[in-house]
Amino acid sequence: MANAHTSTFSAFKATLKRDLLIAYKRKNDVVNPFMFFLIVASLFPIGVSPEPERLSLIAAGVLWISALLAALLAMDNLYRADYEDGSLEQLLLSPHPLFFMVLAKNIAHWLVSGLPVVLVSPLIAYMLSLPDGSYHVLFLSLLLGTPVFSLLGSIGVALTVGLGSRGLILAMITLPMSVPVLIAGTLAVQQTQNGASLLGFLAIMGAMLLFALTLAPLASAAALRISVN
Amino acid sequence: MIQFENFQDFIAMGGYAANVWSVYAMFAVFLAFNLLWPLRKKKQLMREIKRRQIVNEQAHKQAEPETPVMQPLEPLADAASPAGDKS
Amino acid sequence: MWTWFHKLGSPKWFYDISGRWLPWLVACMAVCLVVGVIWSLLFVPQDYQQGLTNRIFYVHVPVASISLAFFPLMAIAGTVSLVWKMKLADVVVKVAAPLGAWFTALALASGSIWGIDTWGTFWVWDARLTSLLLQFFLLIGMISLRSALEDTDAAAKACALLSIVGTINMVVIKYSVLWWDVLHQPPTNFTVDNSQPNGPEIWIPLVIMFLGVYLFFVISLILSVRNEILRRERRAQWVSELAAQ
Repeated sequence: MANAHTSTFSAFKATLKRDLLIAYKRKNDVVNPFMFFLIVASLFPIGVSPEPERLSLIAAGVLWISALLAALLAMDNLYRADYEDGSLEQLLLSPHPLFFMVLAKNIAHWLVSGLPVVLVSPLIAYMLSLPDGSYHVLFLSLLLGTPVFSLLGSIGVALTVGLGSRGLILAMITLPMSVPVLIAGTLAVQQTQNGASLLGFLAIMGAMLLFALTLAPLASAAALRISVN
Repeated sequence: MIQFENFQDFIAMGGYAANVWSVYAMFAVFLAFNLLWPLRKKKQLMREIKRRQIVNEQAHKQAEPETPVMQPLEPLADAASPAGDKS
Repeated sequence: MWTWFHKLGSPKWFYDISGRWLPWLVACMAVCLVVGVIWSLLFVPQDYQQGLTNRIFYVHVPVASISLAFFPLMAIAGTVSLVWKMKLADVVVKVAAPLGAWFTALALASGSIWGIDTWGTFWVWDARLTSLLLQFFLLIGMISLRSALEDTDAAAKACALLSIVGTINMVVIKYSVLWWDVLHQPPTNFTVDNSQPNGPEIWIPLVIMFLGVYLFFVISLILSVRNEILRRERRAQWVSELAAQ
């Protein structure tokens, strides 16, 4: 199907479309991380305290950690099925730069697993009694931060895709690497409550996102070439 | 200049005995472990390599009279088992 | 220059040369450590704020500073192993991870024991401790990735890549944790860096301990590298000759 004349951009679009279509057909993969996010977030009031004052202190952190765990849970969908049915090898054989194919897959993955979490976060934030002025900060920082989780996680999945017991290794690699985003995101919410300007935090998170966008697919592509041979 | 008047003072470390001595004890364990463990492992490796050599030599000795050139692989597998039992 | 580079890549050459160097290194290390430990325990004057707990520094500072060098070391070795396919570089990547975990663990333990009297608790989420803790987790992740990948060639490439990614990430983690710490910590009235300049009776034993711990790091790295070389080259002629002696 892919002849020599297809441009890289159309290959990028085709990969993106394919992954979205697969996600649409396999609804479990979309719904499960999302439900996981809701469940984890709702465990905190039960585990910590249902008092609004206390909850409002930890609300931002709870949302960020739940989003990170949900991203980690969804990570296996990124390459696993493709690895098993052989379409990952096809992707590696394609004449287009693997960087863009990986980027397309990561974007599709974020659209499916990250975006719903971001969209529902204000509701959960309300249930965790986040202070009034922080909703837009939380929303924007999650919007900038969750793609980084997908991009970084992609490296870990690409390295471990061929392994039998990869869940724990993936977590050991991905979670420490996600710490900077977690710090920036929770600090943004906390510090703007204390009167800091939002723009500085958004700039830092935007820089992290751009950094991850340019370098992480490169590393993922290299990792895929190593794992699939 | 020695900072302690007597041995008791040295052990007491100005009231910080538990902290100071536990750190130095951990340091000692850390040094000893990281030096002795590789040496132990090296001995094991050498023993293993030597054993394999003996196994191979015996295999060749048994192989020689019957099949000098053609099939070195089959008798090697046969000879390996009695040698493995011995060790 | 390139012949030297190729020689370095040859495991046998490294095994021979390191075998000749080891006794000297061990002797230097023993002298440095014995002198350093005795000096730091017996002769260093008390700190006017911390009393005799400043003795912990003489273990903690060298160990912690070397533990920070592991990720850069693995990234350099990983790059060499990816680009030039040098066997020795991959061996270094492999054995550096567990050794780095040891160093990081000791740095964490000694740092938190030092904190018992300084902070009043053995753990605070201080920037340096936190980033060391995250480094420890990443190193454990690298070790488990290595042990999960059976194929040594793929494992070599994967770990080399992860060491490069991990090093870039460690830099970002360090700065973000520092930033997080600055914004979170209320200003404390206790500061570690005192205004008084430290005299030679403070820093000379520290330098000696530094030398000793550095030599120890080099020696234990070489010992593990030698073992790994023997393991990988166990079918080679020179290894069997060595074993036969």
